[in-house]
Amino acid sequence: MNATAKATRQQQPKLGRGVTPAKALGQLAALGVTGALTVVGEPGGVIFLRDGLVNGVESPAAPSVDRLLTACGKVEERVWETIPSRPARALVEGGHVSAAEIELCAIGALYDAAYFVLSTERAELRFAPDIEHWLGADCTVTADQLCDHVVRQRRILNEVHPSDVTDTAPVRPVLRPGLDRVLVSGLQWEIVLHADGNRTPQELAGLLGCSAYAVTLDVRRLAAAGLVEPPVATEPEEPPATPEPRVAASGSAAVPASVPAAAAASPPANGAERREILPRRVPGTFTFEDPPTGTRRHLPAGVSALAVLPGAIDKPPDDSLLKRIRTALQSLR
Amino acid sequence: MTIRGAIGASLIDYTTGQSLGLQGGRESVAPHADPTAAALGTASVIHAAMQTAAYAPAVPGDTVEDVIISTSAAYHLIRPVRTGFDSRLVLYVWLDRAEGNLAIARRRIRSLAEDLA
Repeated sequence: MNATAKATRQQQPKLGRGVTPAKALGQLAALGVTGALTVVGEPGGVIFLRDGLVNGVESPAAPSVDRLLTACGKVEERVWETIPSRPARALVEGGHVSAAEIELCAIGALYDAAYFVLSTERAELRFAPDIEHWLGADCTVTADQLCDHVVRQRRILNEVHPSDVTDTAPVRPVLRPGLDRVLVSGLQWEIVLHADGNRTPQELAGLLGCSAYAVTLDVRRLAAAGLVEPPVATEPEEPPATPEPRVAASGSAAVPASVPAAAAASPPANGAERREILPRRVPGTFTFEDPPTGTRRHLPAGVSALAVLPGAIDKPPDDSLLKRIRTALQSLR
Repeated sequence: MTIRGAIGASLIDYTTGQSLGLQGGRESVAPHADPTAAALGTASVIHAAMQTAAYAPAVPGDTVEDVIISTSAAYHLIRPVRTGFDSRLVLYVWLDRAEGNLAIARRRIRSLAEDLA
């Protein structure tokens, strides 16, 4: 056992720059190691291996098991605080969740975070041996299963809508889609309700306590249907104007606040820039140019589409409000 | 396997078509030679049923309970597993038509899905 651990340590220096997280994971899995592969980057995360099998994945972009279980009220937050480290067993023994539930929840969170960790570009990798995932659940998947899954997740995203511009940008629902009828899924409804113009799909997932990949996917569906604005701050627009990278970064951060002014000042240039970054039109879907984008009202930063309704922001939506909205919508039928 | 006539079963995440658990062996888990492709197919069937306007709930609280596909030789039952926490899972059971009983299998699968959640 000790001999293999030593051998593992000797073979570690392979994790240099230019090695993708997926490749490093494959190498570590082949060695049958136990430990944590830290992926430093945007969004980054940690992959936990146990004897060469993936036992847990964490990413700041995806809600963890604790968030999934507390957000739905399955386990109260004060219960979490009393539970010791490696809580999987304690939760089952305490009767809070069944053994099947904790496994399903853990594997769901694992696959969800894996998409973001393995999609991290230009990542810096580090491996720390003998560290195990904090949850202590039994579910494991092979590195190949995990990598195949991420490839499939990426392919499904691109099949839904071939543009990734909405994946990490703040979600801004279109105030007037100009459609006769809008059909949204339950998750899309929650996304639109909680989008305040600042929250990215991953932040919304954390707030709602649901899969970050599912939110990212449904935001792409909303974008394909013309219900979510493409982000206005266009990265390609910045570098030519300001060659120095640090200035460019601060410039792009300032853009969202001054969007209406910029749009008013140079509508033709902005329009041309927009057309360049727009994805090819998918037959049968709504295009962003129709009605012209300039005539649509933009959500001011920090304002939800339902800002007109008091209490809709920053609080979980209360039932009476939702019932009122539903009644109002039904009376429109 | 406690459902009479069941040939194979799997638990599938329908956002991605990832199968999280299989029962019945790799060859017999699905009518397709490739279980991955079968899981993807199941995911698109349930997605169509849940998201298509034609099956949108007509009354409040109405949700898709299961999807049953019958072929001349078999029944395919797909049932969403509604867990307390956020997940998008379906239980898929492949049932031999001559040996299985659709009504009993459906009830068994309902209690199975409820046990998981």
